[in-house]
Amino acid sequence: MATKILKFSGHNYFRQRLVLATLSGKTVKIDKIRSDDNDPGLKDFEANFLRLLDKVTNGSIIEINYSGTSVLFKPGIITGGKIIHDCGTARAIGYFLEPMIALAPFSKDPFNLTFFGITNDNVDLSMDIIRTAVLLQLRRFGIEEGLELKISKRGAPPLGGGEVNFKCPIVKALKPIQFTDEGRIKRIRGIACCTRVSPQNTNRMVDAARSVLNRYIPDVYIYTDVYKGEESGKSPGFALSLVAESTTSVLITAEQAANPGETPEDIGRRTAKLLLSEIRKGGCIGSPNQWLMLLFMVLSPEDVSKIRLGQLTAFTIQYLRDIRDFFDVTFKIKQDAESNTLLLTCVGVGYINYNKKTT
Amino acid sequence: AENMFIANRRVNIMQLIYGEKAPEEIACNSISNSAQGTRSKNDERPLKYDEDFFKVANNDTGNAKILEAIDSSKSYFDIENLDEWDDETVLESIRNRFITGSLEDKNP
Repeated sequence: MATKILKFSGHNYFRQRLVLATLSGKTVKIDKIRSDDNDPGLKDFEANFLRLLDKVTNGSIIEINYSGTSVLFKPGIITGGKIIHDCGTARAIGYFLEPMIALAPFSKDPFNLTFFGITNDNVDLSMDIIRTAVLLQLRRFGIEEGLELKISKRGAPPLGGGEVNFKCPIVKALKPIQFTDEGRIKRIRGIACCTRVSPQNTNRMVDAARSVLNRYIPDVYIYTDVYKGEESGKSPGFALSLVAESTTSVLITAEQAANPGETPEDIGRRTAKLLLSEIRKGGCIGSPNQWLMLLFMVLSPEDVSKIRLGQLTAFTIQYLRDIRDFFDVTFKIKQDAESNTLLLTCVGVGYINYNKKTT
Repeated sequence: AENMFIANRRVNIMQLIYGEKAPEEIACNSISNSAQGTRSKNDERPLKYDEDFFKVANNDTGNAKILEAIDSSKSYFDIENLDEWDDETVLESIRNRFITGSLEDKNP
């Protein structure tokens, strides 16, 4: 099956290439990983991600050269099952969980992952967004029952100490989607959380965010989620995540975590403004989730899937290119001049998970 | 003529996305392109910018950290421009994306 080796260079987009390789069964070679850098080779979190990938698959072959600047990955089958993984503190859990969401539906056994690490930071998607928005989007593809993300402990950077549990059912095949109606935003929900600081901080964030958002709709409700004692990890911090839901259940998200020295009011207002600029971009998917939707569209049965997106992010553009390299699927992209959005259409490759018996 | 123009543009946007350019640059550029709408996508300016972009990335190792952060789907490149949301007209401009906006003018 895997006779041709796909070659990439550079350390960017490391995760997506390995995930696409795993799904497509193609061997991938990534070289020139920071070969000109003062500190060449794979970083800790990338090596950690390879370890995680090794845990969830069976029969994968990973070869790393002596200096760590080149990786050869020959994927095995996705086995899933019960896995415990420590994500370290270099990157948040979102870095590791996101690609796992893409693999989970096609596993042999349903995923039951427990991660330790940072739950909320400013680099990766926080657990709140994944739980309240990303996982809900999977419903459109027919992944519904048993999908769960539980945040049992929170961990703020730099020391982390959070714990989450992710469960995902397996499916035989996805459903194609037609998702072009943006609708209008009817409500805004959010979660303000804090660890090892005064619970009052959450209320201050909520008030600041509401002061920006209440002018549009009254239906703004932000939960305050205060973790105490053991459950609040090792570092003090607070974060706010917001989800805007439209009449056609489009979910648009924004989130921010506090950097040292920032007040809860800063975070509240900044997150609210970020949400507004995400809303302005239009489209049916918030920019952080574009890639997942596009990937699942490609993996759905041999039927036409269509989606409306706002402005594409750099991450998404590279994802489109990598999808073309791995699955040989090119999206048809049409610009809708009236609303400044893009319509992306593709025919799925008919990916089938043979491990799932017919339902 | 109008149909031809639109058909042409569709090819252009596909060329743009599946082309050779660095994705970061397209993402930054598409703001101005989609805002102005009619501007040609293959004018000379982005190419020059392209060269600059790579020079900086190669010479300055401090930039490696910025590039590093890109392996995350959460890329808010407009985080510096948030002050515009203090402006009343900008705030009103997305009113129609909410159910409270008027139904006649559906342009977001």
